[in-house]
Amino acid sequence: MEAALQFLGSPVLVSSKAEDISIATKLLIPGVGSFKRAMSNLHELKLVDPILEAAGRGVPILGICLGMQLLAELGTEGGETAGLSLIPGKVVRLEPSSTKAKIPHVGFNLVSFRAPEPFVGLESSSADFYFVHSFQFVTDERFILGTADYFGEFVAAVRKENIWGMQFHPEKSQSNGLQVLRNFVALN
Amino acid sequence: MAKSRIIFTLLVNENKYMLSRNFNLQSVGNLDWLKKMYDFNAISCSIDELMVLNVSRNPSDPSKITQNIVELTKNCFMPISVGGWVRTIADVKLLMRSGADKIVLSTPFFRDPKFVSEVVESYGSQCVVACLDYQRKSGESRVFIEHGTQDTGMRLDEALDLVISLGAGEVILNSIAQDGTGQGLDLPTIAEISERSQIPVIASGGVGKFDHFVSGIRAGASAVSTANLFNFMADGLTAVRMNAIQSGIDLAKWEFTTSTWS
Repeated sequence: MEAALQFLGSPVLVSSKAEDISIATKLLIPGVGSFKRAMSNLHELKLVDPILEAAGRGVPILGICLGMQLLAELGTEGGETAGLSLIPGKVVRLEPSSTKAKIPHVGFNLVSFRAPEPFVGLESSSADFYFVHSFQFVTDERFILGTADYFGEFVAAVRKENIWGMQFHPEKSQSNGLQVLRNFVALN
Repeated sequence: MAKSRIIFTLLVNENKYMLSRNFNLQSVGNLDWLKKMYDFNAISCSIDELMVLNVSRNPSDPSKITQNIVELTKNCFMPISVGGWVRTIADVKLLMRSGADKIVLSTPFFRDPKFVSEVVESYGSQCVVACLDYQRKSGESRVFIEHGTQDTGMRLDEALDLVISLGAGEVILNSIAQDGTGQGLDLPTIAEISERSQIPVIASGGVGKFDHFVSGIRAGASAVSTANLFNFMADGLTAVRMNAIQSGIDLAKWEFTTSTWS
């Protein structure tokens, strides 16, 4: 992620310090691992309040993969856990319609755009992005920016005002992902 | 649907890039050589994932290859899997910090399952790729560890169930008999195990021609990997990708260059 932002010429600081978050003009929340552990890490590091304050100030926030899921109200991975509650919804296991479906869902998949904003600069109304996940964000239609299909439709990107979330990894999605990151970096 | 994937695997031993044939290693050159022989910008825009394995036959540790990973993955915006001699959580942490997204484990699944569970718990299943090196023995596909030297006594299907139960997110099937021959993948085994597996299967061992990628995917694999350093030199992997797409394989599409980005 750091490399991708550097490649795009954007200054970036990787940090787990509250004071850095309070001066950031944009916030990116990446994340791998389990929902429960990630939330408990955020609590332990005393980062929950600084993130919520940044959200309240209107700082653009982008959650990626698990980072997107943490934006929800509730996670179910490793037991029910309260999330950051920045976007209404909850995170549940992928439920593919076929027993042949392999989980986690790994690889590039086609994201159909419902809203143009994060995908400006990409040529059509859909593009391939890299996913690796076993859980999905379930939310209200009005927050959905894009969907993908893996033995059933799931939410690929969400947004509520200044809060953005992407289930896929833009930093691992070749030029398609770089374009999305570039769009986020360019936000005011 | 998830797209099929093409994976390029680099075998590293003490800063030398290696060719493996039936698990016998031959050094072919260092990082400079690699960069000279391959158009890295073209490669990194032509494959879906990069895998870097420390294949040292002598006890090694991941710090030996971190510099290679950092160098290789500069301006590489794709998933990076790293493995070989990963034995502790500290090893995993070091590799993840160096740019790895997934850790490839083989021997620990059989010798230290507790460690595997620990990695799964800390980083999630999607971070753990099991590598099953196998060959025929007594009429069955038997899984070997310690770089193909130790027979686990376990059949491939049994080993698959084991790695899945321990939380592997993907599995590499690597045929020791086909390894480095360029003669094509072990398609019957790939078909059988892909059918059985609930996690994505990466087919490996024997890829030498464009069509081998296509046949591996058609047999049921989610991804096909090659570590053949000679058959796809220069921009050979770009040609591989074009060929697979023309053959009807559903691969992801993006611009083939990022040179206009900086």
